[in-house]
Amino acid sequence: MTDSMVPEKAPAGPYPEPHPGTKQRRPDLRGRLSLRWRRRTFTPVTYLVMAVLVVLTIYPMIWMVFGALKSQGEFYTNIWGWPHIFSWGNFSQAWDQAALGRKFLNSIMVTGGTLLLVLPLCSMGGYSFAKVWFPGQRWIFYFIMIGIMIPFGVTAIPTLTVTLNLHLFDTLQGLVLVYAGQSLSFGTFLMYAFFHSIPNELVEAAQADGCTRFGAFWRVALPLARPGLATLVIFTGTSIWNEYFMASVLIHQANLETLPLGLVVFTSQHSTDYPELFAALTIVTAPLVILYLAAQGQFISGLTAGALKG
Amino acid sequence: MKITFRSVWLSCLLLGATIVMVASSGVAISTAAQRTPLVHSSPACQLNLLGETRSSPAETAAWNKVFSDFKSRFHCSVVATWQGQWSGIPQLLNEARIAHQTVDIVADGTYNYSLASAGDLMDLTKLVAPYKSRFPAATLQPFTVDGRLWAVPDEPETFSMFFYNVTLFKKLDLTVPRTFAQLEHDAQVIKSRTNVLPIVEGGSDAWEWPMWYMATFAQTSGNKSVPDTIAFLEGKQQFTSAASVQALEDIAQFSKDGLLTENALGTDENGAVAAFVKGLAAMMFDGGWDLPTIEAGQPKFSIGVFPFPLVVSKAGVFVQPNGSPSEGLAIPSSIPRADLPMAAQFLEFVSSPLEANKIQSTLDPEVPTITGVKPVSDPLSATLREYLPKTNSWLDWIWPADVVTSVENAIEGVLFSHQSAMSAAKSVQNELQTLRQEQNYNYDFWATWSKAQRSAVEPPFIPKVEIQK
Amino acid sequence: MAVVADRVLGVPAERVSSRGRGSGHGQRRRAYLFGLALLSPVLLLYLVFVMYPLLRGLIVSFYQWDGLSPTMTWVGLNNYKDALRDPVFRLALRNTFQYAIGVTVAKNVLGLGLAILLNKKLRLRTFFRTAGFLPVMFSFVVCGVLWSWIFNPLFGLADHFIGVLGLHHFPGWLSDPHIALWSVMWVDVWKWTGFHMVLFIAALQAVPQDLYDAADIDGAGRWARFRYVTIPSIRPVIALSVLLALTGAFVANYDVVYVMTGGGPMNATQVALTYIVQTAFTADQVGYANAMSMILLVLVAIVGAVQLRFMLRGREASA
Repeated sequence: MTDSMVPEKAPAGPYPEPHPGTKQRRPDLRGRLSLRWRRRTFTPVTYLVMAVLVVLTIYPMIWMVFGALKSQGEFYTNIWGWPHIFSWGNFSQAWDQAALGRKFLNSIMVTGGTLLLVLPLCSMGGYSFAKVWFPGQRWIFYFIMIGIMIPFGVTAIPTLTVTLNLHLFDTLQGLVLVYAGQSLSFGTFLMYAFFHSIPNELVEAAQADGCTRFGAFWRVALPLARPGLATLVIFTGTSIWNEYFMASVLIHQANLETLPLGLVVFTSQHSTDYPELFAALTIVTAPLVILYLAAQGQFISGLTAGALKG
Repeated sequence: MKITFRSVWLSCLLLGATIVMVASSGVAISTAAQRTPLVHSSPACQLNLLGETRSSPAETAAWNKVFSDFKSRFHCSVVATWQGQWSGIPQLLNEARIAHQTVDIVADGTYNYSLASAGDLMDLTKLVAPYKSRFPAATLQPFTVDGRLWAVPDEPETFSMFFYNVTLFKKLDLTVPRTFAQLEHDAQVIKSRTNVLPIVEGGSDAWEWPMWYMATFAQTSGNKSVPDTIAFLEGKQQFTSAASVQALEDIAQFSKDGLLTENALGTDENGAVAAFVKGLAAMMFDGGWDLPTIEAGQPKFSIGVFPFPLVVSKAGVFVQPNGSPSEGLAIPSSIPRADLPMAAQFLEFVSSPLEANKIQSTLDPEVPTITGVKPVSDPLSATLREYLPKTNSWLDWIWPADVVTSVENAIEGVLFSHQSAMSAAKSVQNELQTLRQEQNYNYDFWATWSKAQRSAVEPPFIPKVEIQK
Repeated sequence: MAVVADRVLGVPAERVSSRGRGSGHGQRRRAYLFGLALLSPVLLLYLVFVMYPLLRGLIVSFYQWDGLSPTMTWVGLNNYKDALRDPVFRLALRNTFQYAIGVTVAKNVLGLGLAILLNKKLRLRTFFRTAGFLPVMFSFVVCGVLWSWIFNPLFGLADHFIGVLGLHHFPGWLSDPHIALWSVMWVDVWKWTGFHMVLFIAALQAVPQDLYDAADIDGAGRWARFRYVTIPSIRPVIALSVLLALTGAFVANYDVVYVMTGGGPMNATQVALTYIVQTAFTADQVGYANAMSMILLVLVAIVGAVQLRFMLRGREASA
């Protein structure tokens, strides 16, 4: 492409024309603040906002871990402070009482299985909305979006009936399929949004160079949509890992229970063993943090940098 | 959208696929009032038990011991599914039925009326008759509907009471209040001489409020609150009766005299327990289930209990706590009839003093529900056990859920929204009216049942059970 | 209409397939089949596990059923009539609309703002991003206990903080019917802003750098870059984020509201979903609850469709 100095998607709209003969960036004065002044106040404000953010998010996490380390009585008497005695034993007790080992395996299998289904399906679906045209597309899109709008709880028993008929009741495969089905609407829209930001020219160029349509999808578009895939992994993974309701409907065998089902062990009709529950929750939440850290490494900007030139 | 051959073809394909799926699912919506016993598949004797997750590994171990004792005595193994919370058991029972999974014994509790009126439970009256004397009458009352018994208790009794800070009372030279006037006096002294809140209540958990009505109505109705409530639900009496309105006014008095403030609405049950344990409040009205948590908190004062004080000064009216066993065991009506003898035997076995002791001893039994089970040797235990004979069933085991919600709102209204007791009572009465009109609610389900429905929940024969000593 | 449809989603056939093999009609047909082939697994799974259960739920809404016994009684449209007359349901819907608007604005503004801040090269950027996402990962049990106790009138941190600031008016965070819903909304925002933040971070990463370079060459300042490059490029993500926040406030906020207040005091924080779940599982009126769910679904679908049309339509210029 020879005229690619100004790509087709150049932003349209009025903005100050450069002074003829110069290529300098003119500061945008519409905000009525000079650039230098803004840059100076910007950074302290940024760090202030970050500090508030940290207090609002890290303190609760510390509180949860402290709660896990307190004895049951101290949980009620010393609510906000440092534990007087560090009951590390709560963690191993919680592990044993809730039989977390087996449940961990089940949760990993279910979450992994669902992601294995959701990632390909949603990227194909999203791509077909973003880069392929066929009639009725818009209506199918809205049809799939209904999945996001279904109120919680109404599909519980009917889903049970479906899995029963498919002989998938009380199996992990059934749970995986149900979770995958329920994540499709969100995942497809998400991938559509990410494929949208990939310039069409790249796909066309790939096809011009002899790629099949699917090859253009697989080899050009998909790698560029990595942030989208990472986001999908994080969101779907987090929601399935913590999901309780459908799992309680579809899984009745003790050795197939996922982690959230195991946590109920700590709550009885009127009293809850909070320290042990919090210990179990800390153990259960830790893998999500790891998942997030691993996936967010994919948030690399500039994946498409220079793709249009040359 | 362009009407091309493709698009028409595509729409037909999608429509066809949907229809095929709907048709092939094959689960028809049954409108027949039949309940066919499920096929018992395994040849060896096995009973399936469904209940909520047990409160501690010790309790699970105790149940396993009972199961192995049963197996060695009667050669029948018991497989327990301890899943979810008590509130989820009705759904689990329903799902098991849909999935053709056998359930021979099911844990029962607050939802006793729901399950019984849905025809899900078997009438145990004749099955339990031979050993009924094991259970104190008050423990069977919550599981009795229409004179029929639907479950037997297997966990200790808990009831509503005031917890109080004995040390503080001694320091301020206060007597344990027996009447409302004394309670008020004690509260004023506490307020004027300390920073401590007189009464704390976990009012953010709205289910707590009906306990107040149960306590006052028990007195204003002349200790006939259960029959009166049933009469109300059957339409023979109104919620706006004098006794009922008086009960609401007696509750309102608590906030009028400053004994309860809006803080109660912002505190949940755990928060109330925490406040009491920390000594921020002198008294707390809650249920006996909180006692283990309070004791685990190791408060720096000694704990005492007293029942809800007298608000009525009529002769012959006595203070009457409300309570029930924390759990009972019932037999689902969908049990395979071949399993019935063993299930009936199991019920007898697990409620024999020896076996029941194994289970209830892991639950801090202040008030055991089976005669012969050793109570915990706690100074409070003796006091609490005295309440048992007079205890009334919780009224929210009898009221339908919508009425419970409207009672909650009514009490919150008279306490904190300056609503008059009469208008609050009217809103509850209206709720019952709506329920009868829109949902065809009828308390006396047995009377409206057909012969087929009744025989579906009656045991076809009364198996002979061997009574354990 | 057809022209708009072509531009709302996807690109006209000529653009994508103009360089493929063959041309014209056969080319279009192949593109069409390709699109369907990509979509069919999604549609299959969706139809079986989402649409079919929804249809069953719709059917049940015409019956009266307690969810416990195998028998259902046909009542036709009665459940719907009762639902529309039900004062608690109407109050719940009003609360839900207030909830939806407040929460959507807050989550998206805060999420986008945080994402932009965390897109810059700050020190400890990964740490801050992880911190922002933490509340999303917490179980709602922890959130419930934490915030109920922060708002507790006797020992809560919120009142303590107010005391420290020197003010002496302690609002009834969860007990005052006028404030309670805002407190619950705040907890929802606290929990889910990180989600929107991560969504926007990922979306901002995917904006091609070339566009920024071109804008710089043309002399655009920071605000112009934001308005004419960033926003159009991430427009579908913004639409998704707003849609999720909006629909979530209608159909996915059960856990948050339930653990905070359970709908009280006196229905001040009762939202549609808590009332529906309470009706279905506590009051054993599944048919009635399903009817309310269907009404809710229709409402949400209308709101969502309007929002999507509004936000996805303006793509013509950048297609």
